[in-house]
Amino acid sequence: LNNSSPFNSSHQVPVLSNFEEWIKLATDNKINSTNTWNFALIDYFHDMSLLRDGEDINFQKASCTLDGCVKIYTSRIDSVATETGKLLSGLANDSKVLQQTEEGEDAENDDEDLQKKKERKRAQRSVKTLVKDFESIRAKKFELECSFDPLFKKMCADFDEDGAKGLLMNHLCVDQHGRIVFDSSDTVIKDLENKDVEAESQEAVVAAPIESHDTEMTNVHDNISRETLNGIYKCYFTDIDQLTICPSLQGFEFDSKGNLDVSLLKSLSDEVNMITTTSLVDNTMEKTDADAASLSSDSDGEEGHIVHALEEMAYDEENPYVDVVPKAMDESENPDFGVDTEVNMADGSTMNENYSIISTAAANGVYEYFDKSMKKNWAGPEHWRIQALRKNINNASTVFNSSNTAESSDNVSRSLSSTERKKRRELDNAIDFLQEVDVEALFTPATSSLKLPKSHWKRHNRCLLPDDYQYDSKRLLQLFLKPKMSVLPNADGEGQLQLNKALDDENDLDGIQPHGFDSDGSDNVDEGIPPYGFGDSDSPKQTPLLTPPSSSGFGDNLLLTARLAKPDMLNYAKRAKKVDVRVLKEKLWKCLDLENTIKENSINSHIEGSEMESEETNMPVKSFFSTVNQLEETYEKKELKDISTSFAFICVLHLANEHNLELTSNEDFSDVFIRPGPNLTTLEALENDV
Amino acid sequence: MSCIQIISSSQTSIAGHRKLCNKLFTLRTQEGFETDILRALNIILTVKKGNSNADRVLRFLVTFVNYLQQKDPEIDIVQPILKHILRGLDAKDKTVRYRCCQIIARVVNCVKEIDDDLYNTLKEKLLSRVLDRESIVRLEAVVALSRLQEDTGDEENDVRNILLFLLQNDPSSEVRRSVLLNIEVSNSTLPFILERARDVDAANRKCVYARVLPKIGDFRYLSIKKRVRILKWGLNDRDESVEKAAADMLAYQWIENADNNLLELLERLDVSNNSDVAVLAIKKFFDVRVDSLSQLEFPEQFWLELTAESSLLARTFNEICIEKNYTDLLDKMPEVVQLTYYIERQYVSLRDKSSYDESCFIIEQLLYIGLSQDMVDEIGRRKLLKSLTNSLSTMALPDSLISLHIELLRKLCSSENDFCSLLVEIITEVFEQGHSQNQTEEQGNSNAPELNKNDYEGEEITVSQKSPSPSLPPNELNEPEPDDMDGYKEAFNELRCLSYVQCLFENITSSLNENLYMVDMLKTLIIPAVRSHDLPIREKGLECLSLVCLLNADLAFENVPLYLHCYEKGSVVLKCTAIRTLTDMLIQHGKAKFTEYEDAISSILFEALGEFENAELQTLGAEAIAKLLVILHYRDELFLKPLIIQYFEPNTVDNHALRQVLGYFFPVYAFGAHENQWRIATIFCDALLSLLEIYRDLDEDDVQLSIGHIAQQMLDWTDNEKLYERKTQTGDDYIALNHNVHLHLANMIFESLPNASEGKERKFMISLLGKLKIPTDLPSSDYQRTKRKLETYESHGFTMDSTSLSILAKFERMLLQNEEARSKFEETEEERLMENAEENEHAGAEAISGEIIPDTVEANMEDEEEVYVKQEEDL
Repeated sequence: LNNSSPFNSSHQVPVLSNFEEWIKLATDNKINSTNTWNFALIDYFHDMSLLRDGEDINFQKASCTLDGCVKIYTSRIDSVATETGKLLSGLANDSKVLQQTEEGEDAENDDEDLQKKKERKRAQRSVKTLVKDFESIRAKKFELECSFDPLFKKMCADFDEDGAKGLLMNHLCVDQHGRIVFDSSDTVIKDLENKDVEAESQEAVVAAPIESHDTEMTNVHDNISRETLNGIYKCYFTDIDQLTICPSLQGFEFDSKGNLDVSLLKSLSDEVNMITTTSLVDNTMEKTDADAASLSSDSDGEEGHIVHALEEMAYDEENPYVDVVPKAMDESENPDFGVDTEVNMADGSTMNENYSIISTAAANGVYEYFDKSMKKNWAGPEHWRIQALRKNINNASTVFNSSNTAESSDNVSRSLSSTERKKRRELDNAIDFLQEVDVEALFTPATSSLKLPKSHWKRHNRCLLPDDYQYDSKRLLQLFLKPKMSVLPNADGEGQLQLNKALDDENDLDGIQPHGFDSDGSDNVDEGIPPYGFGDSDSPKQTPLLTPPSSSGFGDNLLLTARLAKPDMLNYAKRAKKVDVRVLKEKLWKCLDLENTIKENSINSHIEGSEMESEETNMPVKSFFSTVNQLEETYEKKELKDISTSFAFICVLHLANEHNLELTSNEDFSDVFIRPGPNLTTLEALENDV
Repeated sequence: MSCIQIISSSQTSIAGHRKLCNKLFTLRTQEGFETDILRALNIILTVKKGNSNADRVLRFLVTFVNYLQQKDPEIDIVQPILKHILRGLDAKDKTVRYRCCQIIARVVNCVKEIDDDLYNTLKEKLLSRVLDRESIVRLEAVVALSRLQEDTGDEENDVRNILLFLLQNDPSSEVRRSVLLNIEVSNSTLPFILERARDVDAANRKCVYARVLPKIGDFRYLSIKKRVRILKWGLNDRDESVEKAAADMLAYQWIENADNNLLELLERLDVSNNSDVAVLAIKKFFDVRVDSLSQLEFPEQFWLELTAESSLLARTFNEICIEKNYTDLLDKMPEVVQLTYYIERQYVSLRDKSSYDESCFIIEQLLYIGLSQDMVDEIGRRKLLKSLTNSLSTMALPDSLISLHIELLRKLCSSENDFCSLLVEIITEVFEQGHSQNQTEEQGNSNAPELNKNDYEGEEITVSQKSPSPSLPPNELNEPEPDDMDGYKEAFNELRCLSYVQCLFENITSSLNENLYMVDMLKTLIIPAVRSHDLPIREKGLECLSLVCLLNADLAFENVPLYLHCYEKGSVVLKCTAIRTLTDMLIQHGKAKFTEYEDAISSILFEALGEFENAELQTLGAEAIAKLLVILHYRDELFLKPLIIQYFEPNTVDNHALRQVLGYFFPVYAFGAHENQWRIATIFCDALLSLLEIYRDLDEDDVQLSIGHIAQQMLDWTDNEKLYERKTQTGDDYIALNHNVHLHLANMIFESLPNASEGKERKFMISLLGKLKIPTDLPSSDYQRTKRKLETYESHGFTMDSTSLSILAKFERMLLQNEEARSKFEETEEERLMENAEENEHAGAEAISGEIIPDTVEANMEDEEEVYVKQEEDL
């Protein structure tokens, strides 16, 4: 009755749907004790009609179905086990209840005795469930995360094994003692109690190190004398004006196309066989650089706006010192000593680009100020009240005062003091009930009207605010047709457009992230092999004041290691040779021209020829190198450089395999003679001829 | 211990009141007991408000009365007290009246029954006192009268009527609050109570949400409109405390009435029509109940059975998580692929007439979710892209959905070029379908009776490859006859195309509209639409053209006449479109591009601003002008006066949007730039005179603003101390001197005084002089100039009253004093300058402005540079 049709053919689609659904559920491990009994997947598996693929069994489906069936079977067994447990527990408890009933029929057992037994039983159980001492469950030691040094964490994160940027000396800083601080736990920034205290402390800190240094340096250490200093100078720095940190990178700069400075290349031309500039290798790459530059230039508009915004943002600075442009008062404020290290690469808009972000933030702040300040005066003119719009006067002073504010007064004392004040207030407000009052005077009716005049009643708007439309700077600065575009006003009467939301669609959609600098060549610390075996044959530089190890201040043993082995530098091929073996083989085969020679020899019939001549005619010989030399006519010079004797030899060997050639060496092994290989037919013919 | 002594001892503290009550109870049978109590009350009547001791005594007496009623009910002391106190309700002394009302309020609460005569007398007296001139009296009278409320008909319930009157009209907010807290909440009073949610006093508004609304209990007793309005008002309140109270009400009270089911609560709010309020409510709810946010779950069944409410919840949840960076909670959102499937299921529901609106709403919410999705998943990206493309091509979607669809496509596309190419193809396809006049009908097989995720994966290719039969329009298009149906469909398709184009241009910012595709669309689609006689098409075409004009300046310039014509000849919609377009073009391309049409544009803006028949148009005009003034300073001298007049125009009192726009504009304009203050001052008098002309004929009772109030407000705008930027920039082309703006205003007043039509107006203008803040450090020439204008006015011989003469006299003296003082200073200054002409000291004090000081510093820096060069040489 519950089935409309028993035939599978009539309901093939629902069966398949159920089958696939169950397979999916089984695969997803969603089978549980609740639904496992509703699955008919085992029945379908047993039928195998869904597993057949023509005359064969679809083993893939069979495997999947079997897996599902096993899961269902397992789940059902687990369900049965659970039900068995319920039944067993029920039976056990029921039997126990019956047994207790029988025990109640015994009159000899006193209720008091039974209660005592129960109490004893409870006592036994409580002992099992409760620990006797807290110490038994107390954790002797908490499982804590290992305390870590944040600086260490930072270093680990920033480290890159391929680059020098990951060096500790590049990231870590030194403290006032000259120590490179890696352990960040002990290094603190001194915090003073107050300004004066801070100043004193600061002075003390400053003074203390200075004094300490003065004391230590004066009493403990020897000093470099002027004479020694002069000697060093004469030894090392006589030509100091001619020196630079890196002469080869002098003026190095990337152009828009990524081209290197030609001068740089030329500087290295003597030591480096050839350095290929990226801009010279790929023109397309250069175009890409140009596009990138164009894209960068498109951002100039925003940069300009940022600059403008920065100007607008800075105009509300209340600190007079902020208004005053910093100026150099001391000589120490002077820029560097006029050393011109500038390279003609900068554009006039360089500074504007640097300040573009700041300007944008400042422009937005202006309208935010108004949005907040007009929170209470939005309804309209009738709701307007006189109120100062600017509320940030002396705000900077507030910050300073907050920083220097002393610790607040004792609250207890204040509480008690408050109680005293309350007592005084109560005393002041004490009512004397023994006073005599004039009742008639007290209840004297008013001679005039006590009602509030009608003119004072608010009847025009029922004391209601109008609906708030939430008009703010956002709507004011939006375009009507493009609400997503905001306009920043300026004093010149021209607005600058700005997207309300930065849309990094390209960056978000790019499947490939921009390459970082941590690439193969970004931070290369490879020792490498000097180009072309550049070794230590260069003349060593003169070192100043060479001191024998025995005379060093650290003692006789100055070296910790023995002489280090110097590894040999090996040459290697920097370019892979590309040789088309097939083509080479074919050309070699043509150059050999043995088949023609053989044909000719076979065709030729010499009467006058001697048998030896006939043999020579039938046995053409071709020299290997002569054949190879003929390849020069076939290959271009560019291709020919990749071909070597070995390649040709390999090809010849292949030809020998393929064409039954016989190869023989000469006496010096300087050449190989190639000739047709003998065969039975040839031998027979020769034998017959002979 | 005597009775009086017991009462006196109760004033110190509340702790021993019970013991005192017990002691006093033992003295009840003594002679003079009642007399002593009345005597004590007489003394209390003389105590002014603020004395807490009197309050304690009253508390004690009330406690005792209750105690007495419980211990000895036969002793009637309440009625004698009341009879005695009633005498003081008509007293002359306000303190007496106050205390009498206070006592009555306290005592009446103690008795359950009172005789009719006393009751009637008490009620009548209290009815009079609630109309007392003193607010404190009214306050207590309200409390007392509220105790006498009766459940009676509205026609005869005088107490209720008077309380409601006070609730709406009492000038004291405290009184209103008292009424609000004490009035009986009923069906007749509930509307009056609810409207207090927009009370001018923030505390009252807070009381509505924090105290009164909880008394109502279940919010289901309120209509949907009332619920929505209450939430909207509260949650969007400018006062933080009100907002918080409203949020708490929602998060705790209302949610409990909804069985702690947020969906149930949303169902009671009609989210389909009030989605913004619903969204706001949800956000506020989760701001309060932060912990519940993480407990929210979105199982698959949730998405398969999406409702308007559930979808909105999901969308809002997504927004909250994004705003607050709840990345962990974002994992509850479906994958892009899954989201695509859900959206497509709703597309199927669009074919159902009964669920079309709901399906549209659901799709909208899902698309909002999609906009914030991470599109890293390539499969999801592609699938969603295809789905969106197909829906746009084959379905007739509402404009809201179209916009979202296209915006989402923009997110999916990697570049604008790709986006444009894709959308152009869609538009072309839709357009071709329309011109071919093929009535594509939806195939019966296309209706998907049932969809599930497993089937969806299997049927994905089939659904996407088959034609989805989008030919038939929605149900709203079923009424046209078959002959008209074809034409209607063509028009509909054209509108679709235009909608797509509009959204396209809205989502691009580059100049890609100049490419061939854009040109083709402009020529073949937009321009024909503009020329169409079908009004909807033409309107849509104009909007599209407007967007195009924003992308191309040349095209914008060429089409300015068109929009001018549209304003002159077109409907209100076209007028609005024209204004928007012209305004945006000016902003976008700069005013310099449109100098040829400057007068024409200004004319239509004026006309729109003065269009009282259409508030929307008027508001739009005002907003446009405001934008132009703020952004471009577009002929601000010309537009300031009309804006001011319209802002204060009595006829615009009902146009709240306009006033709020202008209310924001004027402070921003005035205080944003010091030059603007000067401009306001220039047209101050002219505007004020015009306003005086307007207000002359109006009854004072009919006007909510006084002309004095208006003037005060305008003066505030010219307050230089309220400038946002006080920096004085000394440039070569522009120098702003903002501290002399009021002096300039004074000059303008004098120039305008002869133009006043009435003496009363002149008197008023003169009175403004006393309100000006004239600095004392202005150049003497300025003072002299003002003085001359004053003398010029006096030479006209206008009749002035003594008050005016006094003001003028004071003003003249002030000018003279300043002139003299300044003249001396200038003289001294000049001498100083002459003396220090040789000195070029590097000092910041010498600088007139801050800008001067940096220049000086820079000069010093340059000198240092020169020194550096020299130092280098020295090296």
